[in-house]
Amino acid sequence: MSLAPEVYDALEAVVGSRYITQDPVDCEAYSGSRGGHGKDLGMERVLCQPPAAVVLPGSTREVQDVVRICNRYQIPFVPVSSYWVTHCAPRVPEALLIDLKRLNSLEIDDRHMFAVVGPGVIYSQLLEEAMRRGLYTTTPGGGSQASVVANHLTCGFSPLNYRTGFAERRILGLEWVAPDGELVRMGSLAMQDDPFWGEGIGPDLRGVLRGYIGWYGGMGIVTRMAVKLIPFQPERLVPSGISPETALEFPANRIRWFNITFPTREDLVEAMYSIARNEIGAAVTKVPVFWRYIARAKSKEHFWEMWEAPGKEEEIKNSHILRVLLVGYTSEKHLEYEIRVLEDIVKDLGGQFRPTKQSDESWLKNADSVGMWWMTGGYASIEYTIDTLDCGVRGGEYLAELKTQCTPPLMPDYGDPGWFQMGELGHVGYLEFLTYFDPEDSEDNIHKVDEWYYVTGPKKDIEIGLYNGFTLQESPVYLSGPAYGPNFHLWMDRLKGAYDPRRISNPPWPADVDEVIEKVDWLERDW
Amino acid sequence: MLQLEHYKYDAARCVGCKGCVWVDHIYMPGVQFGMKCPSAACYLFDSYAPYGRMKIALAVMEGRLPYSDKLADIVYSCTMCGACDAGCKRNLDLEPLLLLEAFRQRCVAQGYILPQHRAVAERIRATHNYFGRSHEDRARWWPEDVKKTGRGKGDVLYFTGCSSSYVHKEISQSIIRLLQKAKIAVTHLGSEEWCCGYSLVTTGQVEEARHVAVHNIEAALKSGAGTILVGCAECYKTWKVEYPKLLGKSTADMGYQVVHASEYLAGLVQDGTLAPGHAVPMKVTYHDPCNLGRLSEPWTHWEGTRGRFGTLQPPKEYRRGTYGVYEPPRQILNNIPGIELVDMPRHRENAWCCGFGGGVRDAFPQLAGWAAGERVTEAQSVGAEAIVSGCPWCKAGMQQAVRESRSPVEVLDVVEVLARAVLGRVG
Amino acid sequence: MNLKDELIKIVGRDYVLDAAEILEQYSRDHSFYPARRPNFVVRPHNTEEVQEIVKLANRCQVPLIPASSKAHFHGCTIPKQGGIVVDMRRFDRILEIDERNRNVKIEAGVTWGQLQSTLAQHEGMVVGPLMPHPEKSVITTFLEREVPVIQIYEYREPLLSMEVVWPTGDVFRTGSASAKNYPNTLVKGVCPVGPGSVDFYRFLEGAQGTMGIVIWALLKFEYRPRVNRTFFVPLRSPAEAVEPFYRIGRRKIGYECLLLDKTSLISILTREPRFDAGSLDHVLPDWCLILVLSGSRARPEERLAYEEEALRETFKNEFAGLQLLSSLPGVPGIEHKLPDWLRDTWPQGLPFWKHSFKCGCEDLPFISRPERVPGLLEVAAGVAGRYGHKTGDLGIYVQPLENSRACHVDLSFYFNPDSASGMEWTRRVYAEVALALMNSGALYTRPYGVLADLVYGRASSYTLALKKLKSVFDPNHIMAPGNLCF
Repeated sequence: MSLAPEVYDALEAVVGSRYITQDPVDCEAYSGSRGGHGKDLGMERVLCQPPAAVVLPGSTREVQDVVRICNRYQIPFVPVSSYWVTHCAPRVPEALLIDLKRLNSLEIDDRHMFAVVGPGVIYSQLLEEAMRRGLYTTTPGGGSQASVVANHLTCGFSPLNYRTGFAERRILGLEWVAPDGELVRMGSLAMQDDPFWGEGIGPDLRGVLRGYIGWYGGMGIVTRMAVKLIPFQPERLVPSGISPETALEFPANRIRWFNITFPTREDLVEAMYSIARNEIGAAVTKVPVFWRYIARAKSKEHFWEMWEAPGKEEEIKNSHILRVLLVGYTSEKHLEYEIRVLEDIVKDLGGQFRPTKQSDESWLKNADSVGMWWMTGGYASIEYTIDTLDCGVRGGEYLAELKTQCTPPLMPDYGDPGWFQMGELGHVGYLEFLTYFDPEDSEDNIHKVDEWYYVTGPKKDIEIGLYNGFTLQESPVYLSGPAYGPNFHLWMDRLKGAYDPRRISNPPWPADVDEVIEKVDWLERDW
Repeated sequence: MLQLEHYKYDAARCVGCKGCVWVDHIYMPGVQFGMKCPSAACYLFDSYAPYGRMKIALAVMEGRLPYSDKLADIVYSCTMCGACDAGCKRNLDLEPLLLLEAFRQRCVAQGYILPQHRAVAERIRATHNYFGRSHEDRARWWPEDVKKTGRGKGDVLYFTGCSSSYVHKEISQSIIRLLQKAKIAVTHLGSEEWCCGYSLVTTGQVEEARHVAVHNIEAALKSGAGTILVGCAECYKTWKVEYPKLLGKSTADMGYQVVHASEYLAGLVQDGTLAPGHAVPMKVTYHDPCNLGRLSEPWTHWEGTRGRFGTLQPPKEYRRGTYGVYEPPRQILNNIPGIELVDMPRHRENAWCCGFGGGVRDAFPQLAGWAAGERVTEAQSVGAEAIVSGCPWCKAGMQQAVRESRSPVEVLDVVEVLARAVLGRVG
Repeated sequence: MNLKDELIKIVGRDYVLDAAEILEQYSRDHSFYPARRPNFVVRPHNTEEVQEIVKLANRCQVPLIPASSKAHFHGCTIPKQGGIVVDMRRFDRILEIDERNRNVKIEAGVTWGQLQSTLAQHEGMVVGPLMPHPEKSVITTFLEREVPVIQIYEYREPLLSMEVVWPTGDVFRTGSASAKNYPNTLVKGVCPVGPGSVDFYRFLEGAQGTMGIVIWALLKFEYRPRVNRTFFVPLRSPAEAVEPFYRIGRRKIGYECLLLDKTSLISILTREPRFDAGSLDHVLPDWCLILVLSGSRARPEERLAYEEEALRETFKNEFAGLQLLSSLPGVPGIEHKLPDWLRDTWPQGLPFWKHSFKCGCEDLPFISRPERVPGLLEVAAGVAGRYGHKTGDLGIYVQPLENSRACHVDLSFYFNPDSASGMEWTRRVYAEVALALMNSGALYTRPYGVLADLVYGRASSYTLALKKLKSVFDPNHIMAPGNLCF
């Protein structure tokens, strides 16, 4: 597989010979067996493949020219930055991979609290620069290694969204190379050379670039984006420790984590609502119990020794641990005030404070999403619902029940209803339901995981009325799409047609799973 | 010999988090100096990053990629600095470095070896040193005014290494004078000291490496010294990690203990045996040599199987870079009057490699020079007047970069600085 | 069958209006834009009827102009090319108040007066713009992206999911309400984003009715604080407010924080008959920064205490030359009333505060960095001055946004709606000021009327992309033609 000589020459003329390759060894490094989320499932095994060539453009103009060449020669292209999900690997033959890592500029306007980043900038880099200025933003569940631009366009949720809100609300002015190669400036950039404001002139075209999730490269390339930053607190979080035990030490006068146990899940949920009603907190989250075991484990083997010890089911049924992050944004007294309010709430609901490390191993600057693969080798979240917290809790319970039917081959998690938390100061709740499996399992068992991921879960969503952000990622959109909106897939398809008339921006998105289902015989087509 | 297939699980289970190339996010300094993999940062294509090499290795194992010049270029243009390894083991406990070692060994076993690396092996075979210099000259660095005090059993054996024997004699001479000052009995192998073989083992030439290993170990054991003192990070790792690995043993079973001069001398400073009485007024930064820092933990031989969810039976000891020799050199520097020690943004297990390891200085001098230049720039960014290291090869690399960039920064070894402070002189 | 009969068939005879006086009413609004009559006004009362009307309009290629309430201010509902006004006033139900999750589901015709009085019974409020007209549709307010006066919530957009009839006639639910069988679902519809890879709600905001007809929407509500403390900072010029804005926003102090010029402040204060405009003119400062600190539900006094301490400390250390007053000289007791005023609608029955000066008002809203606001106001004053405007002839309201990293500015141009020449003259001043401001960096994200031509002419790539979007949702171009760039 390689590009036609005239195509290669044209691309080389744009980026220079140092920044283009079609050597199969180079291309193999961009093959599908890489993405973190969804790795090892049907998508990767059935569709993903190496690109025909890779280019590393160094400017918006180069990206634009590359995309125009792709349009001229009808070359499918796949943009990647931090490259974290299987949908960013080529799923069609003869694709050009556009690696954006050279676009790594980062500028911060401290006074107006925004950063302008290229797709090559990752979260921990942004957070370092932001925190130096007393600012912060969400470090997403996808991890600190995620590209700020790609993640804002794709997902972007974490416990910090309790204060920082949806990622799409933090997108400001940006430069978008549309799939046809047209450069569109959005937000204030549409009008002036200043990206500080995000709203469109009239209808907001940011809505084209992402919804619940993004297009995973299926809607052109954002080469430069301003993202909003939020006031944090002025003290330095000091890094300490040596890998793998590194952490940011909290300034005790400004930031505190609390671990609180409650007698029942109902009490825990009431506490979360109460915290939100009282407008305190920087993060309010209930994490899966096995994460706590991961945190304690010295090795994979140690984890399994602990996790499979007798009595786990009972322990998890009775384990109701809430993690609350409080920040004194305004002053030290602000933190003291919030602690008092939290103490009132915990007392009212019979909770108990537990010892908690006063440092950040995860969520402020660092997010260890990768560690989730450590214990089993295979992970994919089957659910990513945002609605009310009650919805998230009940949805998690439904899915936990459903999961028992598919365990094994799924990793046993003893009925844990997943990860739920508050967003937007309690106006929304979030459920993420995680699935672990052994990718080295038998083919039959992997097919069962595929079925769980691509069919069973999504069908349950539709049946009980959950709203899954991963719907597009994990279910055949032309089969599940009629249920949402309704027919949101048709609107997506029309938008795709309007902006990507040649359908070359990361095909076959959004019909990836449809293609998988079409190609395999172990997934049912009856929806 | 390592078998590439033993690391197929590791190659397949890489999720592309790039923990192998980014500085630990907790310590992430920003966009500048945010990466810790010289190869990935220099060449940019994912194929030159550890996560890309894992996929390439997988394709080779599955018979999807044949050997090619490009493949060799990718496999060998890595300094084997192990930044990836510490990064990966922060989250996933995969073995990107062992995989690459095995990959190189496989290439060599199948007859694919870079001519520059073959030349090194030939020089070592012929002259027992890396440079191809006369073996007779090897021990000429020993200062005439210093008596050989070692008597054998229980003494410290100073293994000088090629660089400090032939080029950076100021390091070996500083060490020996400091030991003399401390009245430590030191023995030396003389002409029985051969190149440690780091350049062989790291380029996959394990048979040649085993040959020198066996020789050096026999000579050392024969000397009766229980402690092998080295001033070179490459020698340190080779004696401590590679020799047992080559022989299918654990470090603990080798019958000797390996100590780096910085560890040994830090102890002498701490207990007051050596008193740094001369001020060295200088703002310095310490460059952690990869082979002394994150790669220096002992090797534990492991044989076993993988079970459900990839668990190992029996469990193995991971070398995560946690217990590297990070503090002793800093303790020395912090005890010297006048020294102001500042860390560079990338330090300890996140340190940026000088670029000279892993056979890169021989086959990819451009990469080596670029990486060293980056390190000099980083040192300048913290206002350091001098970069202090614990390895003559790091010193060589960074000195070259300093010369090329006309940087005012001085490059020193930690023992030189200590010698200045204790003896008022170097070498 | 003619168009009228078809409409009657859909909504019934009583709800198809074409009497001249009715059409005349719909030909104008509170803005200074020229009157244009619609051909019909229809008042549907359910989604199906709206859907049928839209389908009919597509078949007949007749423009549709959605209108959600009785009070319109920017000319968006004036039929630029004739057609049918779809008046949503019968969609006036508050469908659900979910106190646990702090949201309210309302239909498009629900007004501010109706909603806030109902939510007050729950100690709640939807955070609205500065004293909205009681008859203005709440949903329209947010579709028009009017800025909330309380900015402490980072995510200031209160709109959640919606039901919409697209210009094609397809019914659609955005956000989590898109789930099948909604509302008989686990989801309640509080997630605004999606479904899929598209934020459909973004197309409806700022669309001036061109992208579809919203039937209902969920909105966030917040608890109304029980205790408040108001502070006033009298200023000689808007420039003096700039640094306090930055510092107060950065430290996250207070609920409301806004700057009013004397004209606007008088317009607001004179809602109480005891305050007389003439007297106020003598006692009020030229500019007044107003700040309200509030306690939340738990330990409210303690919250007030730490915020007040931070505020006083900020002024003492950084703005020693400014007075931080807990009452407004010459306006006794206003400190106690203002928090409620700022969180309520303008009282029913009183002339709207923006109309109290000359009965008519056209706002010129723009966004800017705070530090640039004083310069922009000087530009506006300079241009207006050339037309004989004096200080005080324009009303000015400056609202810091998003922790004061930006500001919304409303310039109010007052006019007499009974004077055609006066309106024309105002239009001319307005257009010139708008152009001058744009050239100086003012950002118009809500381009009403003449602003549309200014901005779309400049933002060519955005305009082109927007037209592609429009063609997807409104291929026959029937929805509110003449608005924006469509």
